[in-house]
Amino acid sequence: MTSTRSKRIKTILGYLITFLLLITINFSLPRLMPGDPFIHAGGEAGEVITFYSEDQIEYLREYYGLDEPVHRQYFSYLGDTLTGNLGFSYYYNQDVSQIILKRLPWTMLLVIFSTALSIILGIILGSYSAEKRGGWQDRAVYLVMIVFSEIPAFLIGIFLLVILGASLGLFPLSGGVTHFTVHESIWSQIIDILYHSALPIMTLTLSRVGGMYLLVRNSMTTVLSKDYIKTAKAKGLKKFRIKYVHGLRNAILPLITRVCLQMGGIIGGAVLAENVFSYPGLGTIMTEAVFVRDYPLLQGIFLVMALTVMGANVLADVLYQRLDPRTKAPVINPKKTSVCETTAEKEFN
Amino acid sequence: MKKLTTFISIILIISIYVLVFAGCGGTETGEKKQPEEAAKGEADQEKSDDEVVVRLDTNDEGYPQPFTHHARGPGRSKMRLIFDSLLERGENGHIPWLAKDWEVSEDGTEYTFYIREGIEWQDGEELTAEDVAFSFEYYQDHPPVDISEPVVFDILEDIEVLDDYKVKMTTERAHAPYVLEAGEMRIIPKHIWEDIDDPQQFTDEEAVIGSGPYKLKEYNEEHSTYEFEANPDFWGPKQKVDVLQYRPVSDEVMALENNDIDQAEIPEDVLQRFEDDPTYEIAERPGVWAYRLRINFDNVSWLNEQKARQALAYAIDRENIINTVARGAGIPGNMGLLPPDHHMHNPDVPEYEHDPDKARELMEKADVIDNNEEVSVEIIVGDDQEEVRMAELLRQDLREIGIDLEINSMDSQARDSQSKEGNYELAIMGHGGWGDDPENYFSIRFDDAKEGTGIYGGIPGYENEDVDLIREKQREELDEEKREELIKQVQEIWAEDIPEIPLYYVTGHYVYNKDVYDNWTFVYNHHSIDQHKITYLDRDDEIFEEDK
Repeated sequence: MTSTRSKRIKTILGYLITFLLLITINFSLPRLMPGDPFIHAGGEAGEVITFYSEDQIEYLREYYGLDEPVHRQYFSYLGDTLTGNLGFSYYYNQDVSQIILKRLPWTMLLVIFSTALSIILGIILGSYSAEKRGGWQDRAVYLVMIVFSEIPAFLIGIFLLVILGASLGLFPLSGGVTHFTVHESIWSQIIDILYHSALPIMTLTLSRVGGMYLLVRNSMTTVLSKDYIKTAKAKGLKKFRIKYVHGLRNAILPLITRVCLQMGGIIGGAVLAENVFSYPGLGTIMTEAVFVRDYPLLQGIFLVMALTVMGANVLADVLYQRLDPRTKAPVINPKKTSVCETTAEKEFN
Repeated sequence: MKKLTTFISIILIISIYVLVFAGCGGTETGEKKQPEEAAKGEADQEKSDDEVVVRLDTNDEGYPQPFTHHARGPGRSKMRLIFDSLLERGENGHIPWLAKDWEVSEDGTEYTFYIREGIEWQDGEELTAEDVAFSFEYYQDHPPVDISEPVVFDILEDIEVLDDYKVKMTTERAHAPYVLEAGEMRIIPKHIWEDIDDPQQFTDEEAVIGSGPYKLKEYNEEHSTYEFEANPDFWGPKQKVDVLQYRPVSDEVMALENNDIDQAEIPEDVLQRFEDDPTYEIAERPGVWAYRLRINFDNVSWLNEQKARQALAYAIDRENIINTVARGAGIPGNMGLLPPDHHMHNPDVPEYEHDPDKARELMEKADVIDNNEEVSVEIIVGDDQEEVRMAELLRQDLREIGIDLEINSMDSQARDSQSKEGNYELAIMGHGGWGDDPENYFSIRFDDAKEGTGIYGGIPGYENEDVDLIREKQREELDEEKREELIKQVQEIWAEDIPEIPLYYVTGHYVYNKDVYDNWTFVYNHHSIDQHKITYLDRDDEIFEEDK
């Protein structure tokens, strides 16, 4: 009992240290980037940019506290962050937390839906492949999945945009809603939002489903060869029941870990997809913030993203324990997943 | 097992929250509009036939008031739809706007503006000389975003309201372009702004009350959309566009073809697609945005030799750069600096057509290359493809005359910082403002050279007494024609002395759907077709008479 408690304390301490490190990196990264938030001398072709005079730059630096020594900036940032104050954006002239709160739901919408879809698709296709292991169906699905998972998300996005959006006209080309319209009911509004998010979600799902598929396919293959499956078959249980109840329950563990651990990748993909579709989420505003070196906004966005990833890790920790009583240790053994993957890959080859 | 259910419910709650939140975000803006919309409902439908709605591409450009819009053309132009200035840029020169006339004293230190009578702010109050004086004073205390000409405030000594429609500004010295520069400052209503201490955080509805032809109807920050509608009580020329809608698009070409937007800037490669379609009209952009090759005289000693710089001018094949990098959409750099599209351009300066033999000859005369050893020089460029390709072409050209160019490509922000600090040998930089008053060229390039200030950091180490002399003279020369003579002279000096090399002036094409709106126009000395308000106004109005 005491050993579990001390382990738990260790885990929590681990997360705390990670969080502190994270905040520090968060503070230094934007400042390590070359450039200055108030100097944009060159511009995109055709753009005329307003220049600040020396006096104005000085005034702005003072106004935003950038004239103070770095360590003081760091501690005031630390203090502000811990009290929930994310600062004031130089470029957007607004509280960073406000900007983020307005955009976060859009990104979460993409992330949650595409994660759910890629899990479902991964499970269905993966168990199908496992069942037809070695057959042509398995090879065909495998090939398609590998191809999709190797293409970068933004390329898939552009591809979908050109084919489904522009050529076939099935989906809107950009944005999160139909602008300048009034909806009769909340339902038509929700449908409008889903309609606009269809292409970005598809993009993200396609770029993620490959990994899920591979994992399910491999662990399912292992599970399906187990004795209890044979028993189940011998009992004359229905195929569906064998596959999804007896098989899946045992094959799903690595999948859950993977989903949680890959949260970072999914969010990164969302950033790219949003930029392709001019979708109103965090990704679009992040690119802009990088371009104009808006330190507080960058810090805010990075913080939220990093916290999401960390949260997902905690979730993985906890979920894994609940789902698999054999895992007593609160920290996930990273080997577990990798072993699973490598043996699985070996098997196929 | 109990905990598991807890977790599942947490996940469920999160997803529901996201859905509802996303839904609510939209409802808010939707609901805001509803009462107005419902009231107008039928009337709207009736007149929708002749209502002109123009839809354009945008990014988020901030709240369109003078202190919060973003520091770029598209942000500035949206703010300017709402706010007027004393003068406005017309197609051929500045035209009287809020000021119907002005006088300049003989010594050039007193400027009297006569304000039009009967102009109303969008909230019904009258605009008077008080507001004009107030705006300038307010800007002196709170610098707005849109302050490209800080000199206006540096030399402004006193501002005096003579009567309701007459305001006099006194400056510490004569400044030839003063009327134009002060004429561009937006006038803000005193009765709204006098109590505002922190204008950067002033984002109420009142903050976007101006005297201009358009009112802000809706700004949605998270979607980056703007809707402007014609101000029915506007004092000036009639609006030709009733509603202006801005939204972000993923790709301008696809959006234009899909009728999501009605006008776009189209890359040369795909222009063909619109050429044969009778729905679309194509307009060529004037070249007042340019790339220049900057020289740091302090860091490269051999370039202090005039002949060596002339050799560079001959060696660089600017036509080839345009064809390769810009697919033909450009005008070769003119060694007199001012672009051919500038109203004070001197067409008689030497052209320095590509001539490697002559360049080599000049290099020999300049005595730069000893013992056939290669001269090496570093160039810094931004990281976008165009600039890198430009640098590669330069390397080819310079190799021909025995110069080894070392390319150092970096993030464009880093390039900007380095060049401001003078930390470079050669640099490529592209920016706008080439259509501005020549005084701007002097201050950007030659003022800063000595003081080491300014956004571009000037031309480090460059000195030319003749240029300085003309600069002094033209600044105080109030006679337009005599001043133009001086500016033409200085272009000759520049073309011989080559303080920097303009590579090319970027042109390009706008394509618009003429069935929707076909009244687009350019203003003088500016590259854009949509970033000024007169393009949306009736130009048969008498206010434009002088402009023709």
